[in-house]
Amino acid sequence: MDCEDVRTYLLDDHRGQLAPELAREVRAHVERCAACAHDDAAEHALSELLERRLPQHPAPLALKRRLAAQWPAPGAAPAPWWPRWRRAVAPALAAALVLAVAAPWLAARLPGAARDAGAEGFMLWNAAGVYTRRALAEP
Amino acid sequence: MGGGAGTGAGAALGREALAYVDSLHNLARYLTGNASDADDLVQETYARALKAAERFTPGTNLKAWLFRILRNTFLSAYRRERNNPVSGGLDTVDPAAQGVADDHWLRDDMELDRLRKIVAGEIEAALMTLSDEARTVILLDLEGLTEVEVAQVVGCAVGTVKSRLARARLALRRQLKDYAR
Repeated sequence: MDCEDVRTYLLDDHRGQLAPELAREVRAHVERCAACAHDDAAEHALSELLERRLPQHPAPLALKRRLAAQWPAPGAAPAPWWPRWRRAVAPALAAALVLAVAAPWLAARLPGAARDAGAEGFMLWNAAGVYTRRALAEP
Repeated sequence: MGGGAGTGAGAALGREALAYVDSLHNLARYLTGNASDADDLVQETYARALKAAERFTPGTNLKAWLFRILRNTFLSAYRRERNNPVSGGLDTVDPAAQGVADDHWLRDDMELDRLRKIVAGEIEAALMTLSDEARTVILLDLEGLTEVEVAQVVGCAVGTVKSRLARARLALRRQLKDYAR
C-alpha cells in the first residue's frame, strides 16, 4: 500500500468505515510515514473545522410556516366544524338559551306584575281624582 | 404547490419531508450564495417533491431523495441563468485555487496550527470559492450521507464520489491557507 492508497482511505479510517485488516494496514503506514501522518492530522483538523465552525443556515421560520401550510402533515384531518363556528355562533346560542329558560318564567311573572302595577295605578288614579274633585268643590 | 397536498402519497411524506427543511436550506444557501434564492430553491424543491411523491419508494432515504431534487432544481435554474451573461459558470472556482503549485504548503507543519485558528467566516468564504460540485459533496458528506447516498444525489458512481470528496477537501485545505493567519 503506497501513500496515495493510504490517503484515499484516511477519511474512511477516521469514521471507522474500514474493514479491520485494511484499517490496521492504513494505521501501520501512517505510523511510519511522516507525510501521511501529516495528512492524517490535517484531515482530522479539517473535519473538526467543518463540523464545529462552518456556519449553518437553517430555514427561516416564515419559510417553514409556508411549507407546512402547503404540505400538511400526514393524517391531518380538516379542522372540526365546532371550533370554526364557535366564535360566531356561541353568543347567539347563549342568548337563545337564556331566553328559552327565562321566557316561561317571565310569561308567568309578567301578567301578575302588570296586574299589580295596574291595581296600584288605579288606586293612585282614584286618589288623585278624589283629591281633584274635593279641591274643585271647595270654594 | 399543487393540489393534493393533504392527500395520498404527498400527505404520507408530509411531516417527515418537512423535518429536513433546515438541512435542505443549508445546502441551498451554500449553492445559491444568498438567503432569498435559498428560500426560493427550497420552496421549489418541496413543490417538485410533492408532485413526484408517488415516485418516492417508501423505505429508501427520503433525505437523499430531497437533496437530489434540490440539486436538480438548482442545476435547471442554473442552466436558465447560464444564458444570462452576468452569471458565472457552474465551476466558479478560481483555477489557481485548485492548482498544485504550492502543494508543499500542505506538508508544512504550520498547516495544522493555521487550520486550528480558522474562524467561521473564513471557512465559509473558503468553501464558497470551490465549485458547486465540490461544495455539494462536502456538505452532503457533512450531513452524514453515505457515499452510496451521495452518489444517488449527484448521479455518479460511488467510486467517483470518493475521489470527488478527496479532491474537494484537498482544494478546501489549499484555499484555507489564504485565510489562515
